Amino acid sequence: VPRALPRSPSPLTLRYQKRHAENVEGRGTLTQWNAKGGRLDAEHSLEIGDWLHLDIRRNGKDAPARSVDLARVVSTDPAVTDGYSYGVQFNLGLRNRIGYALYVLAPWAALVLFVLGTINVVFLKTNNAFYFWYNPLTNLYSILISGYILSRFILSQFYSPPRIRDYRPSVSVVIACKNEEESIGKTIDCIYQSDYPRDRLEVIAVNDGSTDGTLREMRRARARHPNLTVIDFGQNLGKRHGMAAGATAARGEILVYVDSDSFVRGDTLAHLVQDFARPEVGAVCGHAYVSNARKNLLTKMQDVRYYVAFRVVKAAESLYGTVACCSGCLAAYRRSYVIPILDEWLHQSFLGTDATFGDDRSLTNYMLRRYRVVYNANAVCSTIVPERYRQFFRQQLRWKKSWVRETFIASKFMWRRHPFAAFFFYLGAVFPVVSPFVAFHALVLPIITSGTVSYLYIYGATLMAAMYGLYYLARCRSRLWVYGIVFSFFYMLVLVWQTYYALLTVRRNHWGTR
Amino acid sequence: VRERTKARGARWFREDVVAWVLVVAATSSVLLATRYWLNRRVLPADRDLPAASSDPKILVLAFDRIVSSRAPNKITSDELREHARALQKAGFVAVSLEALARFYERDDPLPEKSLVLTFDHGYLSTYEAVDPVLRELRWPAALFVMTERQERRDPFFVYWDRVERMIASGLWEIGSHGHYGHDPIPVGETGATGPFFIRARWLPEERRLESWDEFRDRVRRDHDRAKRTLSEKTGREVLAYAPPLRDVAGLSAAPEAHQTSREIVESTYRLAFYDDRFGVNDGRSDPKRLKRLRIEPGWSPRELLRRVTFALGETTPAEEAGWAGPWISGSGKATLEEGELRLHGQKRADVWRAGSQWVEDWELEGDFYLESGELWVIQESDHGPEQWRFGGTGGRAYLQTRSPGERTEVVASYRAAFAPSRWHHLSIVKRGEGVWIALDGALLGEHPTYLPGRWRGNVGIVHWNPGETGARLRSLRFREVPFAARVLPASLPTAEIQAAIADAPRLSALSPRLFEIGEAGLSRAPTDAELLRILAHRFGWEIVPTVRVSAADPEVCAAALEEILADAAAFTGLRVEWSGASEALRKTVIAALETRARELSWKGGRLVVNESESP
Repeated sequence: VPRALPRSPSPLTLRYQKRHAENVEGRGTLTQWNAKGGRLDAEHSLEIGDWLHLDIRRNGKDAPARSVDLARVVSTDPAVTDGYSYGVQFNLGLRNRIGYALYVLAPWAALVLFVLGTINVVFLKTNNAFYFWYNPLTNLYSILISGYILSRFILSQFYSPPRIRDYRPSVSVVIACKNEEESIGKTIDCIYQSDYPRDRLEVIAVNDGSTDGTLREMRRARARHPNLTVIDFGQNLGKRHGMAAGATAARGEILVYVDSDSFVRGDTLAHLVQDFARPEVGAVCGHAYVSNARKNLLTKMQDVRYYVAFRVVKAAESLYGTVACCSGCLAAYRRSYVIPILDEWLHQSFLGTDATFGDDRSLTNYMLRRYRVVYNANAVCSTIVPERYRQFFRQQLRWKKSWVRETFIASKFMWRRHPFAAFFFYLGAVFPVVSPFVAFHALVLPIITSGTVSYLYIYGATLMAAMYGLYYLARCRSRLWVYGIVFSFFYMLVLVWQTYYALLTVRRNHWGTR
Repeated sequence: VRERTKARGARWFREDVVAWVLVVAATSSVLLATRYWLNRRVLPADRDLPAASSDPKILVLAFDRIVSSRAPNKITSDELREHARALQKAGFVAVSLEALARFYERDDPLPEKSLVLTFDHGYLSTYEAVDPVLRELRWPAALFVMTERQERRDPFFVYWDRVERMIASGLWEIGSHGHYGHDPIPVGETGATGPFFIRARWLPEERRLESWDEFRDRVRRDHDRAKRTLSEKTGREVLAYAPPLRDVAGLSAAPEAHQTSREIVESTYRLAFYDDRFGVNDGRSDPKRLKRLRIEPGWSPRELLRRVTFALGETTPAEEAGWAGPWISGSGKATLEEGELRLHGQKRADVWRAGSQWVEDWELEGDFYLESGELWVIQESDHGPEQWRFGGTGGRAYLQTRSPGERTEVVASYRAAFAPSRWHHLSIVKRGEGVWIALDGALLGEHPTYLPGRWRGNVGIVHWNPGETGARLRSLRFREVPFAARVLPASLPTAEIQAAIADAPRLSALSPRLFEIGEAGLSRAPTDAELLRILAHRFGWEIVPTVRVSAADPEVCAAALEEILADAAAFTGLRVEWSGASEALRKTVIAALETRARELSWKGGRLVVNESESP
């Protein structure tokens, strides 16, 4: 039983330092502390699981009183909207020391395993080449899909986000939402906390016929931030109309779309606009973290999935300016490029029905036709992902339908882009449709017909899945990496089949309740 | 709001076009270069063969699976390279199946010591391990495949891409093992299986074995299918067949199966092979029954060369003198102990006299010691499993002939036999179609025993024994019996005939002075033709009449020779004596007779020219 110490009333000032992944240093205040830990108010955004080196100052003076070497961030305070506040746990006891050692070593171990895995994959693929003509289609598929995945990892290594310079165009942030009374206020607050000149920042909140207190929350927010513009539709027109109305009302050069359940950080907007310094850039996609990652198995899987989808896939696509989808969580468009196609986009129809979802992918597609679409890894927001399978499947189905539609549309012009980008785009368009067949042919059919299990196939699939997880571990130092492997199998066994359902029902365009 | 925007990114679209051009160009040139490199030709089609000869010896080697890295009971590519280097040093030159077929069909010359490398079953590992060695040596080779494996895309065997590469390199030829090869088929109700080309198939629906007509159809279809597929895929004619299993028919196959399979193979392919102990062929071998020497894992290059050089008869007298040298062990074990060759093994042990296949008339002599079991002296046929043998046990000895599937036929049986636990001296003289046998100094029978036809092939000694005791051999001597003709007056005086009968085993022929060519042309001496025929038949002698040539006009002489040769069927050679014939005449006569001897295929020694002037 741990000793119960009385909570100290006196806050302690300190310097904290986050090493290893990126070097972050700042000042903070420790309140409500005892021998085991306390509450840290910091200057930077930190992640759960981060290790901090603390130098505690005596009475606010610049001499260290006591060095509690290490502390771990264990929780965040969701109530705090102004600044960053975390629960920290001091590094006492053997278990924490082991935890810290693992924290330091895990990424290196992951890196070594990742390289070994890559070598192993290449070795397996030489077999495919050696026996190529014995079974050309399967071998071609196998080589291409591994080449696709490895190319994502390799290309993403060449990606580096731009530094913040003094480019500060006027920005209009548009939040279109329906029935989001719980989060809308915080979303708006986060934007207003941005480290961006106020005279160049405009925020537009569009209420798309909410039936709850969303409009009330927006008005409350306007009381806090008089600069806020609120547009109320009175009835539900659809998210696309909300976004379009925001774009028309906006006056800024850059149009930033933020989902109502996404929270930006202080430096997000400044990062996000940097790429627009080049006139050929039409859209920039931000990076989304999962803020409810530790909730359950589903969100843990999605956390890894999001990280890889952004930091690997989008980063790789960004090299050629062909990011296929600027995620709705956080995306920026050059308004002058959007306005001309706004009407066309608003009334987009596909196979005779109105395209009601996949607005983000659709708008990106319009940009892809003429401009570069890039990804910015430093422009970060955290978003809430579905916690229940029903919600999750509905969301995935909407995404897949819009994937079907927009991939079909993009395939008409992608061949004019850079050959690597085009090649991998078309590969990426074919794989989700073909892979279930291949999996069936290579794995399920032998089991049914002859009772033999293709261990090589399972091994190959696990290896590929593990590479995602290991990459996540190397970059994020989080224990959640195992869920990347779980997700890959979840995807292979369950989610792929949704592709066919999406293909068949692509014309059915109702949103499905959340 | 509807207004078209100009493509602001025109500049990078142009860059993308350049990238497209570069990528397409680079990719296609890499693909083309790879294809060209993989399919590069190593051996030109019109390769010059060194030191062409009209009477070459052709060594055919058969290899089973070859592997790249060491594995138990497999030959590695390094071992193959050592073998090849050793053979190259010994003067062998590898030739293609095409050259071999042309040699047999059109008498195109081959190198004096030709070598044909064949690899069975068409394993992918064989190709991968052997190809670099062949490229190094620039030697051709043949790979035999069962096309069913390609149809099934079995990754253990070469697929058509490799075949295409092999053909393009000019190094490889593809031979046929049939389509199913010898994959097992049901041969009985109980689920017993047997080889495809040898056993009649069990038809489960009709609950019977297929008839021999059905067997013929099935085998023919299989060969046709293999041949058609292979010639489609290689764009070449399929020249050769090799049975994918050792001892394809052996002596155990049904005679119908053996006969049918052989007929189909002979009508389908230009060359066919079977396994033999020495694998050496010459111009007289049957191209549809060419012998192959199967290389066993673990043989050293020295072991291989020993077999091969002895089999070619290329040994020095000193090597021959080490009498166990040319005796090569077959199955079972043969060891040399205290100057004795001991045969022991489970059931069967044998040794074979390398090079004996070239010897038409031979004598085998030696001491034999047998504790139990049987001992046989065997001569195989030159082109198959047929054999004759002498030997036996239990108080009687036999001379038998055996052919596939048929009952052993006893040609002669003798009361004398090997008594157990005693040394015996055995001497066998095989001359023409006759065999003389002497056991412990006593001839078995006054007359030779006759074989069905002339026999040519390897001579061996086989010991059958259910136990472990073994047989012992010493002072073994195998030598060629020189052609010896006894000259007689045409009147055939009794005394001279008696003397000839006393020498019967050593005599090859009688040479009565039947013809004389003089100024007046041909004159025949009167003789008792019936007596000559009887003598020749009884003692296994050939009749090689003597022609006495004295001074004559060349034209008259030529006409006379023609007259003699008109009934050449009555004798197997000629002996020529000179009596005052001029040098020019001698030359003309010899030239004319040598031509005819070749035409009539009188074998070595049957045209005897007495160099000295006879009285």
